[in-house]
Amino acid sequence: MKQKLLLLFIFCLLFSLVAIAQERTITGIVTNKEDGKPLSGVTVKVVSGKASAQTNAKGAFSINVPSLVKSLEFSYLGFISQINAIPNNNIINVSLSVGINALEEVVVVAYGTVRKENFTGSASVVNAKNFENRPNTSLQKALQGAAAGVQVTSVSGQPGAATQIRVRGIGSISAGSDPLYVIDGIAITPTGNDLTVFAQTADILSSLNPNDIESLTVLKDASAAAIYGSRASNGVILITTKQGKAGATKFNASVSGGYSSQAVEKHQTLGAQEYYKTYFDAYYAQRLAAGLTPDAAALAANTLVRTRLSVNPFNTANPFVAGGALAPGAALFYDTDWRSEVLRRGVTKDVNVSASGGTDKTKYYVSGGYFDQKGIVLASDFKRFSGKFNLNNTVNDFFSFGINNTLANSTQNTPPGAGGGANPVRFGDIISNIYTLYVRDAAGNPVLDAQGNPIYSYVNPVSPDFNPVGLSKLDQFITKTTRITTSPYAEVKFLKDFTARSTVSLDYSAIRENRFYNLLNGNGVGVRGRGNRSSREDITTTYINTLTYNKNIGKHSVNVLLGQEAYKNRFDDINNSSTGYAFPGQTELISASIPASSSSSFTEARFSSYFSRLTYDFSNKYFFSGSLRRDGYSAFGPDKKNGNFWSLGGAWRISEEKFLKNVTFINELKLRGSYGITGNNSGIGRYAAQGLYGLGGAYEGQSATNYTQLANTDLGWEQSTTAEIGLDFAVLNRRISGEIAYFKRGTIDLIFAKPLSRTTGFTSITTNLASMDNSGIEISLNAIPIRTTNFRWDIAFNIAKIDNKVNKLTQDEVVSGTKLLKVGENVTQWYLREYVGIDQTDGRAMWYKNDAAGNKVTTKIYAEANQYAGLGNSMPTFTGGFNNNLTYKDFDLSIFTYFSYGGKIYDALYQALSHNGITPGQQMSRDVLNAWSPTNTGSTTPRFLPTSNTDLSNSQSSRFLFDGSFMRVKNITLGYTLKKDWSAKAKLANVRLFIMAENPFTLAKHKGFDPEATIAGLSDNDIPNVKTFSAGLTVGF
Amino acid sequence: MNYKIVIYGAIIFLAGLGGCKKEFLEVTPTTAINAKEAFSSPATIAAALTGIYDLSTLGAYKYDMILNNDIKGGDILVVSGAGNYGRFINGYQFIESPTSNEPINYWSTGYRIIANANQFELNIPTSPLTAAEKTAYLAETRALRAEAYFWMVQWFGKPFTLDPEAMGVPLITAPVGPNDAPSPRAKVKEIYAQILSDLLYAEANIPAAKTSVYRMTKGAIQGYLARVYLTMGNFPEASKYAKLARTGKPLSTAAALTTGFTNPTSEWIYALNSRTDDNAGFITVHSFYDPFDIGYSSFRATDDFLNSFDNADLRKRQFLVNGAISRRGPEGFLINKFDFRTSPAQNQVIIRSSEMFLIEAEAEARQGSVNETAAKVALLAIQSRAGVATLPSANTGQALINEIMAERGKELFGEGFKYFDLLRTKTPLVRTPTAASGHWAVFTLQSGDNKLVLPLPQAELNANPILKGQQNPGYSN
Repeated sequence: MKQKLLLLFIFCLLFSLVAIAQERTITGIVTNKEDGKPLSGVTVKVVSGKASAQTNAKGAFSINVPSLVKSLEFSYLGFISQINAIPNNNIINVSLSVGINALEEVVVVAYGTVRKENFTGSASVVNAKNFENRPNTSLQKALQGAAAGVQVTSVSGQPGAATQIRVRGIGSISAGSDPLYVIDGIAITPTGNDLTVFAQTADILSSLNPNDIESLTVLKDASAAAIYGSRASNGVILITTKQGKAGATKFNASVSGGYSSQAVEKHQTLGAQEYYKTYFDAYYAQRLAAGLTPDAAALAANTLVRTRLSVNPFNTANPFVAGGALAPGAALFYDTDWRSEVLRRGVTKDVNVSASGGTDKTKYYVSGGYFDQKGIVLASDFKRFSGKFNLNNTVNDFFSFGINNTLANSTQNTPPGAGGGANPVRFGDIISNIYTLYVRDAAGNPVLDAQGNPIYSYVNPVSPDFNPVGLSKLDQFITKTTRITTSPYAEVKFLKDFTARSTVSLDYSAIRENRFYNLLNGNGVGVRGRGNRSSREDITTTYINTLTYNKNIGKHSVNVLLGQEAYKNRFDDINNSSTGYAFPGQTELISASIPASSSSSFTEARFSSYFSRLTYDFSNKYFFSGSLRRDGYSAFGPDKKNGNFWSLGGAWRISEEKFLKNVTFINELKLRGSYGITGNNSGIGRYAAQGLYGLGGAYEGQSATNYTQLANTDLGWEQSTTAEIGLDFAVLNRRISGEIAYFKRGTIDLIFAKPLSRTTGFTSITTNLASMDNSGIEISLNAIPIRTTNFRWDIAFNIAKIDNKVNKLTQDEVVSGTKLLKVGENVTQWYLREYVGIDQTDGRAMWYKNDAAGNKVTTKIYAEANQYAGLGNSMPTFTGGFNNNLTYKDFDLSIFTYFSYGGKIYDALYQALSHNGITPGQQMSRDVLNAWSPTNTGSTTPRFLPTSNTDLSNSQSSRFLFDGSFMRVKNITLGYTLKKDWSAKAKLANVRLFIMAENPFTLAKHKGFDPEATIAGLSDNDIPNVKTFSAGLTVGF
Repeated sequence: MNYKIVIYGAIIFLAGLGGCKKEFLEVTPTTAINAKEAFSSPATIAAALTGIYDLSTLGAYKYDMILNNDIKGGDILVVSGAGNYGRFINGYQFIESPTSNEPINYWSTGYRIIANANQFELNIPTSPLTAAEKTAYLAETRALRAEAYFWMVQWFGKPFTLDPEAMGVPLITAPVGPNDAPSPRAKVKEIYAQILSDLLYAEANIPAAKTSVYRMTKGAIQGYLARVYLTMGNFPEASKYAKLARTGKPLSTAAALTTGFTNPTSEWIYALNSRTDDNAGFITVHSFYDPFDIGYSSFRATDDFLNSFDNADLRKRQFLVNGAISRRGPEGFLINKFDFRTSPAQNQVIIRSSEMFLIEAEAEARQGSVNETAAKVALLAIQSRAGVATLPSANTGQALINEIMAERGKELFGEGFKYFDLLRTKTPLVRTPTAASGHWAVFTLQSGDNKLVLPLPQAELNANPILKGQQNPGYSN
């Protein structure tokens, strides 16, 4: 009904055409103020009128305008629009200046573009400049600090690793909180960005070459995002790839290379001698106390250490004498710094070539890229070949078509992660230096194999039979991804103001993985080697049909969009594994003797959607927009399959009002507000509403089923109600601009894995029972403190403060891992045993417990300790970015900084390094040297006890919770552009040399640990984030 | 001209609109079947029953409970710096907390088995099966339910022999939905009553045609009855069912005791099946006992325990590694009873006839001097095979009982008995504080000590507020 009314309205407008007065022709040339080069494709438009034209390849334009028109407006993406009066000679030559985050840009929005000044919603735009030539495998890392309210955390330094992005807080508890990614109008697979089964971390977005991207737009509020309906709650990231521009063919080539190392130094640990001596000292003190003479105690202690730690790295059986001094002549055979053994210097190479250009009718962009990154950990790397071909053709006045294509093939080697013995990072962190890298003979020399290479030693008590250096040559963890996206479209313009567009898209990813555990050491020994091969195929087909009506009548301008979208994703999975390899060297399953498992399956998700949007503006001053979408999603219960989502938005350009027209220092002032309802469905099972008996089990050679999921036929959408009010401004000749926005997102029917009593036979049931609010303030400020002919300085600053509060739960409080969900509290509130400190009488750790009367009292028995809230949240209080761009003559310098303040992170590494004798052989923090002892009271480090240590002092507790505030200089780039006349001599259009530092500095409140933990504040022995120093050259001709 | 464009545009637009039918949003999973279909045909019901057995093969359940039982029992120790992600280190030291892995694993899987068995109670009566088939299914699923309760009540409740009125675990005998009120703990004796009721029904109704050693058979159910009655201190019934259970399952040769306990011998009554293509990998009994450092290889026999074997004892060969009894590291001796190396298909014995002889011997001996002759006959069967006796024991009274218990320890070590034996006999758990014991954590726990009962898992307390007030003493809630 609503839509019919709209159509009626449009048709009424259609027939009230305005008479056209006498005309004159204006001509001119538009150039770039920076370099004087002509700009093609600049829109030349009559102010508040209809006539418009574009400049050609030479920057020239010609436009017929009514004689009454006094001025023309010139606008071009990435440049500051300007309005010039028409002189009497009817010739205007204009030069435009480059604008950074200027208010007047065209913003890519859902299903189209809009001039930013007309936009009623909230969106952050990040331009190509921010991610070109950065040594990152995927584009999200470039978003960090670049957009207000967008929290980006990358936990792993693995090349190709996944990145977590949260737009305006955490929108969900159990469902996904990842934004929707839309590439050139096509929403990509919602199965999460990691489609691998074995790889510790991978990101399907790493198949996209960041150098092919023109811009990223983050849609944040309802007005901007609601047209994506059920997938919009967590924000939408629109990725726009580069398109050709009319004009001579432009070739661009860039090459860069760099070296990486660990971004943050980890906790200092003990050398082999210190470690050995720590144990010796404790045993020596014990033996003395037991009444032995010093010499006898030293002898006994030497023996005890040797047997306790199962090795002796010294050249003598009794390296220490009474009192703890080194025996004469005693020396270490080796001192293995495992961290440096598993780490190496990372190397990045990036080569890109592109050609773009075209005529007024046909435009194209073609590119090829090669990216190769060797990670900082052994056997960790990523290689990508990519190609891009975008073409569009305008056949005639009414018909045009085009196609966007991307091809990429990547190969990623990902060493195992998390808590497994084979994880090189964990191994490097927690294995003491007293264990040797190589097998050694009695004289301490490495034993060589037949080829003369040293033989790796697999002896240590913490991860027996593992040595990541040796395993990196024997085991395999390979992921090969091939991704093809192609989306042809056709567009028909008719009846002057109507445009119908039809797009079909195929997004095809094939992910093949090869995991191999060798038969000699590590995980595969028990079964004489294990090979796993997995083949996954993810195919998304999307059909989008839209009809737009665009009309300007006098001071009224109306744009109506009607659309329909069908989406189908099929994820196909084949897995095989075999064991029993005859000899080393072969990894394929054909060389194994026992087929161990074989399975195949597929899952499907489907969407069916209808949508509409109306935008209207009056006199370029008052703006209104409304959107409506109806989405159906296959995963939901029979009665909840469809949901309706909508938004309303308005904006008022106060600066266009008469009373401000004369206030010359205000260039732009816009008040905007929006309200709407969006949904979220991500992250839940594709069959989450159905009661299921799971297949795949077997016993005694027979197929087995289990009751694995309870039915919930009422399972439906999460609904977020978002309200926003914002103020956009530009003052002082646009030297200062920015926006301030307040938003509130209330989410109800949160998809929530309600924990069940296990006596039901289930852990949880997926329901829509909780609700939560996210609210906050975002500020973006841009300033140009200096703007002279030779020197320009741009500053961009953004900051967002977001509060989160749980409003409703199925019960008063729900424990979710290390967090307590409680009504009225932040969803990331920590819930841990609360560490008190140590008892100064015996050096044992103490925690709190509730006594019978409910009082909080201390206990030294971990099993009695209660978990408590009130320890802080993992979510930061505010995050933001501070970016500087400076250009001086031919030099340019940019500095990007990201900061995150507040929020507690859990330092699992320090926990592992604080066992203080509980886990012999495990590395220790240097703090143990100052551990409590009867002679060292007053210490805050629990006692070191080498045997029968049941203190559990390093068990999970608030002892390892630290302030996660940090500031990271994300990127510093210094570039030099060759003088025009020099490059012209070489027949080159432009030549730029640059040096770049990615993540060069990190300032963190808590040291020894990369503060960039997951949004939940946790980490899992991940490959550390890297800092990269690179240099490169780009040439255009 | 113009109208053609209009038509073209309209077609593009309408093609999409008409393209979506309602069925477009209906999807069917491939990795599961709809729960409504689980009891729709004999084949699906058979798969659902197999699924209950499959649950018990989860590494963190039955294998773990067997391993934990020996590690807590005192004859076996876990190497202190064993690695293996700290597995059994807490159990050995009795320092589990409500958030430790063992409580939640035992509890979750136990109740999953019970819930899947309860689905049979609900659905079998209306399923497309004959009356005889229905009874057979219920016999088997009730036996499996009883087995799960029997393990759980021993971990989470006090021993029946110590306090039958103490709190056991929640008693669930019918499907519980997500909106049903969670249950409080039932008394230990109520759990045992249910176990007996289920086992006796199963014993009476299980078809004789069920003979797979890897599934519930009449013999397996009788074996469990013998074990349950022994645990409850009902010795006449324990002895009776022990005899019934071993009927037709003669003791194997002594040589068969040193072949690695991977394949059934003549005396195996009930076992967990494992295959090259379906096994629990490293989380098996064989892996932890493996002496060759190929498996997790972290379990050792204490010096005292090894020294308790007579040199003539053929079972002492279960400690020979490459022909010699040896150590690796200072703590304990390597054990070579379970073969991890030859094949990943390591079947796990649960009940075998020698246990039945030992139950019979103990049950008879505990009934007083009148029954001692029967006890000695049963004991001799085990001792003579081991080569340590050719004549019935000369001991009487407590000495005889002690001898039987010691024999039980030597015969069944590694098979998951020692700790529960200490609990039901209310024997203090003594970790001798001498270097000779090999133990690296020494303490004594008297019968009734809080640490001898596992904490209820925190995740359960969080989801089931009724249990929050029913946590076992000595643990946080």
